[in-house]
Amino acid sequence: MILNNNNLLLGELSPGDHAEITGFCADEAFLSFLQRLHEVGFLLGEKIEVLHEAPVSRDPISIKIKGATYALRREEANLIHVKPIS
Amino acid sequence: MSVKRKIALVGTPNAGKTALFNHLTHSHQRVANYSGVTVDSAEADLILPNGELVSLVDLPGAYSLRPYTDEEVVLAKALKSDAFDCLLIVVDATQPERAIRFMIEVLDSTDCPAIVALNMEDLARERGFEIDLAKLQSLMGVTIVSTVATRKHGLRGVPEAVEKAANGPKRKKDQFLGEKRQDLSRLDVSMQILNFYKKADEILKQVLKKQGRPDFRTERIDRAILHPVLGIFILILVLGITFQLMFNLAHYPMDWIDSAFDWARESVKASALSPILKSFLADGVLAGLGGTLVFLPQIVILFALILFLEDFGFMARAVFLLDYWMGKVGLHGRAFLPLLSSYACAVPGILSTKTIENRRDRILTTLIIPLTTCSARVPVYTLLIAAFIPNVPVWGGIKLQGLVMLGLYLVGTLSALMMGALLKKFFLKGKRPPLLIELPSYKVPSLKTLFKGLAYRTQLFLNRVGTIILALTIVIWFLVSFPKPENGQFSIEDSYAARMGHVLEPAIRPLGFNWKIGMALIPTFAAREVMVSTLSTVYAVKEDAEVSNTSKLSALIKGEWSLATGLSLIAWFIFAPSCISTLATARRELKSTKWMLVMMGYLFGLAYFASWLTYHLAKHYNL
Ligand SMILES: Nc1nc2c(ncn2[C@@H]2O[C@H](COP(=O)(O)OP(=O)(O)OP(=O)(O)O)[C@@H](O)[C@H]2O)c(=O)[nH]1
Repeated sequence: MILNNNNLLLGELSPGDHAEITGFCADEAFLSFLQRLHEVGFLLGEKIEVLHEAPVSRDPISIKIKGATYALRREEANLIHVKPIS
Repeated sequence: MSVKRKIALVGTPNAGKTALFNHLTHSHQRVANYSGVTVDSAEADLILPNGELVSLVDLPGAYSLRPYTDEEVVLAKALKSDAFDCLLIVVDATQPERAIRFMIEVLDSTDCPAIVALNMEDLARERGFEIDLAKLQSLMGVTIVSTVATRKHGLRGVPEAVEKAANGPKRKKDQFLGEKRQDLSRLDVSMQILNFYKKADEILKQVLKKQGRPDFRTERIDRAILHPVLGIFILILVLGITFQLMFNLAHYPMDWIDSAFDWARESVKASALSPILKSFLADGVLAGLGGTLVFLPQIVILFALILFLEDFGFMARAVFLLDYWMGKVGLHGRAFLPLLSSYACAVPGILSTKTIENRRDRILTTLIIPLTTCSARVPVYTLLIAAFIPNVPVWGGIKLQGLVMLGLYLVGTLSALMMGALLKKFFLKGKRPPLLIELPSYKVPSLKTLFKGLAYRTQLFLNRVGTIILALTIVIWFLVSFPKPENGQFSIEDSYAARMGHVLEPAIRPLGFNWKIGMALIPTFAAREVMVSTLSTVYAVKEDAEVSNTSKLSALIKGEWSLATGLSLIAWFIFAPSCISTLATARRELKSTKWMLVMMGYLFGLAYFASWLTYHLAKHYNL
């Protein structure tokens, strides 16, 4: 998967933001978790929407992808690179 | 007769696998055990249209066949094992792309005949999805039945399709993506996942006649439940109501069970049987059965509520709301459900740690579960509070006794959280594993699923805990009733149990406990609340009076023990690991004797220290 530096990380988005997945963190340490993310649909080019963040802590966030909703901590959402779309 | 053939139920989480299982089978579920792997998946009989009796095995839900969680390991192993004659694949029609991807992956992995239940047809239709089923069937090469697992006639066609497939030929493996290499590099794996989705997309394009609308209802409910302010209130309210119901509702059936067993024991004692047999039946068997059954009301109520919240879709949201805060004490958000369950009983709590993916986190959660205040502690607390805490009003209508009870719950909870933080910091170090949890769409829970789920869990509890309590109660009856002297009157003070109490005394004297307490502590290994009846026996014999209920007993021990001793005993019960069922379950679930010993050791250490401290502080202040 390619890495693109000119964009945001998923964990930096706020509720209501729409974005497209442009790449993934290439760190070996996270590969198996990244695979799990791929499995539930976080794939290159996929469109996502941030729906909610947990109260007070503002972490984790919930993300709509391929018609389902998943919760992720911001830290781990940062493994995913995105390009905001409006 | 040949062996019963097996049909495996596989599906993605939340696709309605459990509902389908419950509606398809009529007999009672039992815990399945196949091909060397013991999992607590359910198995039940299914009668095919031609009259053949087959076994339907509910395999763990999984997102994929690449093992990431323990449950997926079980699934992957089971599918490889050739143990099944047909697969029944359950997928969610409201997520067609994911559904097709999962089908492809499963169908590619095995040549076992299969059929697909495209479930939640009602919701898919409501949202406007239209799928060309005939086309999809021909593309997938298996029979696909549209189902509504929660409705009476919603599974029509499934048994027929299973029968046909189970009696049909094997399929071909790897039809969709061709043969897959086993030695994939990690990058290849990512590519493979992408390819599965690409293939699914390709198929979807051909069969999806109309795309459905988003699930507006779920989005609306989430706007309240995940609201920055409202969300917290709702969570607190839900937990508050849950505990209220557990205590207030359970109260009545618990009293009934108690009186029923009292009556049964009286009847046995009044009967014409030989004294030894009477004693065995009344104080051994009936006491053991009663001791297990009194827990049932609280456990059933708490589980009914948990199952309801789970089915509705709330539990995943609770994990979402609490993950950050649980992280503060080193716990994973998924530890919420096991911890909540353990307020009824630690055993089902430990069993539900299965959903925690990471082993270290699972160990951590299991280790602290015994600190939550399970229902077996309540009778003991009630006795000791009644004996040693004056029921003076504190403020308004609130009395000191009630406040102390609440305090004990809080101390238990706080010590569990603190222990979690400590264990995480010093022993089970390491980063918290990532959180990835689906927030499923909200559903109206199906009553039938609820009842069956409840029956299953109750059965599991009775198997795991009931048998141990019953067996130990009988052992303890023996220890309390023997040896019978050759001549003369038997006194409990000569019994084996009393001798053990005397042996223990030097060790527990620093805690303010005498040998009688030591003796009463022995049966708490069966179940904590047995202490109440043992003390009754001990003091009944000594005082030569009929002491059968808590209030008489509490009056008695109040005269016998100092306040310091009473408080010390309360402290002991907050921490002591005195329940063999819990230890056995921990060992079995973690597959490790070492961690069971760690659990036992640290809990004993804590209990001893807390008791000692309480006793000496109390003495110091001349209580
Ligand atoms: N409307 C509707 N609801 C359904 C249907 N099938 C299942 N449900 C509901 O969907 C929810 C999830 O169903 P479960 O049977 O628990 O799903 P599962 O696949 O066993 O989920 P896990 O046990 O988490 O793997 C429950 O609330 C069910 O009552 C269906 O066909 N239509």
